[in-house]
Amino acid sequence: MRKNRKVFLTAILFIAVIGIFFYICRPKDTVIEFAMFNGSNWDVAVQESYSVIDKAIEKFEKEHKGVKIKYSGGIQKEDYSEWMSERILKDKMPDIFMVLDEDFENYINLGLIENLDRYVMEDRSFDINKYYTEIANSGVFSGHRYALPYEAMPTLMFVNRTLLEKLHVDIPSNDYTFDDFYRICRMITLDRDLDGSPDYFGIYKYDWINAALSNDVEIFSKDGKKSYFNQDKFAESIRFVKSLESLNGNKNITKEQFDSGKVAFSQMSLAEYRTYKSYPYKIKKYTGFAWDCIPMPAGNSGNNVSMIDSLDIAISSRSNKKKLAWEFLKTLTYDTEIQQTLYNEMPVASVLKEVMESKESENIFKEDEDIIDSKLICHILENGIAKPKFSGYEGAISLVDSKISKLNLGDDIENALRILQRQMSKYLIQERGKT
Amino acid sequence: MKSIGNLKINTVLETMLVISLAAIILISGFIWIVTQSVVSIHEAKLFLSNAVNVPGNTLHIFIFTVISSICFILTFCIRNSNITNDTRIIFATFALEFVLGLICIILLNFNYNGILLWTFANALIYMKRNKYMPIVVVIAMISYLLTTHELVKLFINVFDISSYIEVCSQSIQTLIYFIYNALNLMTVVCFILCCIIIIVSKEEIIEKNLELNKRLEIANTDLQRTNEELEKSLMDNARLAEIRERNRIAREIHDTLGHTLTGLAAGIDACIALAGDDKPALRNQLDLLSKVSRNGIKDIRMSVSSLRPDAPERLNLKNAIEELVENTKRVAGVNINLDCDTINLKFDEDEEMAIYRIVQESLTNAIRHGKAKNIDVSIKKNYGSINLLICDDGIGCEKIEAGFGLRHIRERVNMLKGQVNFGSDEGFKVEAMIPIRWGEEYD
Repeated sequence: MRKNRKVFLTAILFIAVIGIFFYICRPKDTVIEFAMFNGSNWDVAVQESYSVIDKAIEKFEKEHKGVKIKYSGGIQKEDYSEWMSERILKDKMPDIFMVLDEDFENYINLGLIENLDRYVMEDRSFDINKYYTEIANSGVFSGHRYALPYEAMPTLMFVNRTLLEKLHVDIPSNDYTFDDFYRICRMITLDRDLDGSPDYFGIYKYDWINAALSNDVEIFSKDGKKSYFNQDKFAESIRFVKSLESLNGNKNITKEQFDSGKVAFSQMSLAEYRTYKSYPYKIKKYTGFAWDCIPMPAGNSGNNVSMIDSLDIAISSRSNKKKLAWEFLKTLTYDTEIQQTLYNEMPVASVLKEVMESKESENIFKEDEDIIDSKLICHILENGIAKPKFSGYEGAISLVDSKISKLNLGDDIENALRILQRQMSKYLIQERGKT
Repeated sequence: MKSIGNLKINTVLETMLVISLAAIILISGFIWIVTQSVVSIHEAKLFLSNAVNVPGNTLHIFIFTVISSICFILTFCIRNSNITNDTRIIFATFALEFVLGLICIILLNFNYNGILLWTFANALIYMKRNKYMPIVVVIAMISYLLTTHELVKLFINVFDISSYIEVCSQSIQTLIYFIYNALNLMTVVCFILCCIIIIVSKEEIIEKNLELNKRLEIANTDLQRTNEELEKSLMDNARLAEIRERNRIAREIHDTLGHTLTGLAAGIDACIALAGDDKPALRNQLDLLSKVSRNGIKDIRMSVSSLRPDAPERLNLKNAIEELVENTKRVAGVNINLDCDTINLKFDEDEEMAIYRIVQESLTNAIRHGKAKNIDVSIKKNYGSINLLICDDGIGCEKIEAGFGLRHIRERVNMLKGQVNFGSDEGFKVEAMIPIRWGEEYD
């Protein structure tokens, strides 16, 4: 009997010790951890990358008393993915975090990202239609919403205004087509000093992806399971890119030539445009000529649209403060005040229609007498095509890039695309097989 | 405790406990260490891109498995040290083990589910004779199946321990794979050993039971036979006592009343002799008295002989019945057919008496109440019984009312454990079956 009691006492003591251990280890304050990286997602320099976030945190903490938002600063974008991975392995995943395109699908497959369908459905104060549809859908994967967009980034066409004026060529209107663009480039690349090679060049860095998008070609399905290379519209886009390249005398145009103002057009992101158009970065680049941005040329079957990239924010499925994380996610992405500040202070576009169409936003571009107008950006955001976010996208693009760069204008492009389609199907199946 | 040869079941259980606890602690510890090293060499992204699932906080998992292991040892000690025989406590230890085991298995992403085998091996041993045994077996089978890694990974994303092993250098990989598979297999082997021991011990018990059953059956048969003999001797005693009593009464009457009457008759005869022929009136009176007293003696004799089994005592049963039939024929003027196939009708006294009385009563009834002209009497001996059938062609009766005669017949037959039926279709019919006591039939 005495032995009996001893064993029971030991067991009770044991359980009590474990209980106390967990009691001591319990979190004391409601702290939501937010993960973000330093600088810009769009490879441009930004001065105060935390200012908007700080403001959002301030606003959120004021609205939610007793809740603190914590974030670690100083993580570079290139380190961010590894940093997140380490946090995940250590089971210290932040409650809410910026998610890079390359990690998005993998995190979903690992079940690390909270499915937001229920939140979107149940939150009456939330209307997903206030976002630009295509941008909002960047957070959707295989039918479920996993992230909300924070920043949007449309691609624009850079124009060297000084060069065009010098050559007496008009800046194309906002609804210009492939043919218009080809005509302008041909005029620029005329051999004026008759030395057998063009003195100025039409375009630098205009890729086939944008040509395809402007010609209404969907290259990959959203989930990355299918590719659609074998179509006439795509062949037409490739021909257009190749004919532009041939105008340059099939020469590879260097960055130096572009920087010295010898090239009339180039692909450019809104981030670059806004960064180098404003002080202090204004004086760093493209100082020898006046320049601007216009939309992309439209293909015969398409529109003056381009690719829109976005930076998404997701909630960890392992968080135990998902409700609050959702509230903070809304503050970051859905709050017009925060989004307006974001648009004003950062070289990005807002994801909310209301912000982009506001009076305040219209004034941003007017300061420097630019020809780009806010409506144009709204139009691009509304009609643009979101960048696919499946893992293996970058690999697929570089594979296609290498194949297409070998093509010449005279080649049987249709046949080459058929072969490419087969190779790509195989590649995508391999990629899917990994997960 | 049970054993096969020198292998005690406790030894097997202890080995199994050590193996399964070593397995869960080693696996969780291994995963923790690998995670730490992956983080420290900054290969987390690469690791994650090949991962299927992330286990959560590996250190917590490791600590949990260690705590669970201690619990497992404690519960095993509680069951084994005979501290308690309370089935509820034993059951609670199994429930605790089962839940802890399941949590460990889920935390380890189903990479090792041998810990369930440990719990069920114990449960099988302790619940051998319990009615819940089939339920335990079903739960064991289902839970073991549903926690098998190969099966689970078809439906949900679970990490494979091989993805952790592959992080290690090539030279250690083989060793770790070996240890992992060996632990897995050893658990199964231990479980099978437990099962074998249980089966063997069960078979021994079954054999012992069978033997005991056989002995019990033999004892039972003996007892039954003795009981029957006892019953029979009791009945014999009763019958003997009855006969003895009747004889005593008969003798008593014969000796006292008979003696007195005989004396009285002799006295009267003496008086007649003394009286001479002088007084004819006295002499006539005395003659009358003498006749009356002699008649009384005769009556007493008749009564005494009726108290004693009469007719069959004087004749054998067949002759007695034949005489009865002849007398009746002559007196009543009816036609009686006697059909008696047995020459030797010789039974116990009471049986013979019953047969005789049934025939006598039936004949009397047929003539007195049935006004019958023809009567058939049939006496047939079967194996172990005698069948009587008395039919007449009289008026019979619509409703059989058991009068003294019929009741008397029924009582006599019942006393001998026979059966009697009365019927009245065309005339009256008496049908009786009287079992004959075996072994007393003689020529």
